[in-house]
Amino acid sequence: MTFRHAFESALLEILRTRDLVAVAVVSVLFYAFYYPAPYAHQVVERLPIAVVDADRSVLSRAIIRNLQAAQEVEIAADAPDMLAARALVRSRQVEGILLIPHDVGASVAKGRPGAGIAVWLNGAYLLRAEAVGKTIATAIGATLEARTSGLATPGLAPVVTRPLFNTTEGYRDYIFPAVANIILQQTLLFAAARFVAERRRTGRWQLQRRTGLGVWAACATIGTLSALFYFGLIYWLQDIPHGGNIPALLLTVPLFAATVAAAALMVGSMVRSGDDALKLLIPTSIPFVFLSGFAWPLVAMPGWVQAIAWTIPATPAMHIFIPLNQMGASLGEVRGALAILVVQLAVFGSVAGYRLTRRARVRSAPVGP
Amino acid sequence: MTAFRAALVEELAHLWRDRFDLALLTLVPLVCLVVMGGMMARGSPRGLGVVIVDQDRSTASRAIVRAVGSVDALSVIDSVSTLSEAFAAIRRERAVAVVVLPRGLGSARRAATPPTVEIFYQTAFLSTGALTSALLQATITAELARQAPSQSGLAGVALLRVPLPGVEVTLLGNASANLEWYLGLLIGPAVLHLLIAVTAAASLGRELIDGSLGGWAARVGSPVLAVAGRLVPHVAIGTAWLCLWLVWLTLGQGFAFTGAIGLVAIGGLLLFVASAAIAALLILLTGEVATSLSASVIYAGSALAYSGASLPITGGLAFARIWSAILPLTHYVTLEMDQAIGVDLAVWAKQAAILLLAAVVASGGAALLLRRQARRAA
Repeated sequence: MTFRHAFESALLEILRTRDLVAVAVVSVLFYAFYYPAPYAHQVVERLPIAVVDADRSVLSRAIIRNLQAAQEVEIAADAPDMLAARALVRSRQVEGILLIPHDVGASVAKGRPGAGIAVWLNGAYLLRAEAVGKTIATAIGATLEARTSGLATPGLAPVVTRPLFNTTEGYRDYIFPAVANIILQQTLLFAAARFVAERRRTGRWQLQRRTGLGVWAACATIGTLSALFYFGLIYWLQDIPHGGNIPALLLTVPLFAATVAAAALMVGSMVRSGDDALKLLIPTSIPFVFLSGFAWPLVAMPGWVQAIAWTIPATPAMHIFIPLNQMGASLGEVRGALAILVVQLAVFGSVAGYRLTRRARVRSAPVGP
Repeated sequence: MTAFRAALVEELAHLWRDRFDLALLTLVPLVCLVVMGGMMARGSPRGLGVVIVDQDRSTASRAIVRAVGSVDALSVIDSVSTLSEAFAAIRRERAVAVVVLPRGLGSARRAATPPTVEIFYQTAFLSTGALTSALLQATITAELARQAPSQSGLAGVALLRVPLPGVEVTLLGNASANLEWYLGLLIGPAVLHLLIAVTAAASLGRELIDGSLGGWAARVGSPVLAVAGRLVPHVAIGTAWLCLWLVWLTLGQGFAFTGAIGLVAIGGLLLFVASAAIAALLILLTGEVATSLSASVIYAGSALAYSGASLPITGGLAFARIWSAILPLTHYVTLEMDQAIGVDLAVWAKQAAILLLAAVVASGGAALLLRRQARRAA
């Protein structure tokens, strides 16, 4: 079988076999819309909080009014005291409490920090609590500042924060580009490993090197097209920050797809059947997402965990594609991750090539259930 | 009960014989949970890189750099003269944030309009960026206030995680704003939910002949009991791993549920019962292992995204809200997070009842299909 013949027959088989095309093509299309959907609204909206207004003054009403204008929170209850407010939290009717103490105006005049105003938030959901905490703080800060202008903090340099890249701090624009690498990796891994494992199980795997290369190239082609579809069309359609460095993307995307395809061939050479390939690979999906370092930064992981993380193609992929797509990085700026991807390709490719062309091994391989 | 017991014994015997399937329930979760636990075991993230652009080069600006450097989580990796050099460090992912200390900072007290300290932080990795910017803002604000002792009101600004103009923020259920506790409560259950969805579907899938469980159902006698017996080990093992994970988080890492950990474990059991029931339903509906497993990835693999644990689903698309309400993991996560802050028993019971309902509906559907397939085969 020539390289070209192997390439074409693998491509056609993947596209014609129902469960392979379902994973390699249909899933990729599906996830492009399914995964970002729960984050489409981007920011926290209308989180219910209770207010305990012990002051009932012009100032306290101004604070509440300002807070009502913020889209992140909704004043869901006006509790008479802290006991009642805590009961509302315990029955999960509100996500937080804002306490405005008695005589807040006097505290403001004295320059007491925060004027004794206190906020309790449901910290179990840490990410949203931090976002909402910031909103409430800003609203209160703005009100207090307006009241005390002239008195407050003359000569103290203001400190402002400016977000870079994902400037709206949207959740979809943060989570989807990170998870997209895992989606691209896992769909290709599932399909290609299953394809190889099934060919081996049914005795249709041929031992020539060019057959292996043809299958690998076919899988890498599918992976490349999927990634370009995401970074080109889907990011644009969903208006996710994109296109920071297109020439570098065109160079690195095929490298990523080739690495994942090599890893898939390796896994496919080690399992008994296509079902076993899926059973083994599917449960890794969630750990792989977190190991890529999007929620918990890689630098903060212990060395041995970092070492494991860098053996997964999606990890260097994330640290290549996010800088290239979102930050407009140059190829030189992602060279570290790029080098790791090249090493992975060499290792996975060698192992897969060795295992899939070794005659004795294939003969004695278990034929599966 | 003989059909139940026979199926249970047969599944245990299979797991004993088939080292691959046994590893999926033992080695795979062990490795996944150890790696995930190890990833976060240091507590809150440390070593978050900060680049300084010090345009002032005064005692005041150097004091700020020292203050930033003394924060555990932060690490000043470089001091450069231009913003473009600093941004390059962010693009290379060496730094998360850039602090610009403007000219005139040291003499700010004498200026009519003091210069602004700017913190640029990357938000492509939002959790890291937001944490870094919050820490920087709090540290720098406190340091500036310390340098202005005449402003007695602000001299006492505490170093808060969320920097406020002195407003005190308390995070219920996670007072130290710990990312490990938050992520730990989400990752362990999500990993195990997907794993059990896969192993349960694959286990039943072994009995498919020409896309039907009819032949097997006819052979075992009481097929519904046999399915239950078949899936009990998966539910039990999933629950056991979840309990170990909760023990690790609480006894091992020192976090605590304000509510009751036992109620969380019961919720976990219900989650795995629902996962197993859905697995049975998928196998019976599709008649194929591969398609059932693909469906499991779709519903269980992305369940964390739909659980509303990072971004609340209120205000989201109607489809997302409905699908989120259907997925069992949403209700488990709600139940678990509720116990983190401590809630009324009725609130727990509501989520537990929904999990139970999911299990009942899925197993009811599976039982109907199974009986039909058994009748056809007979």
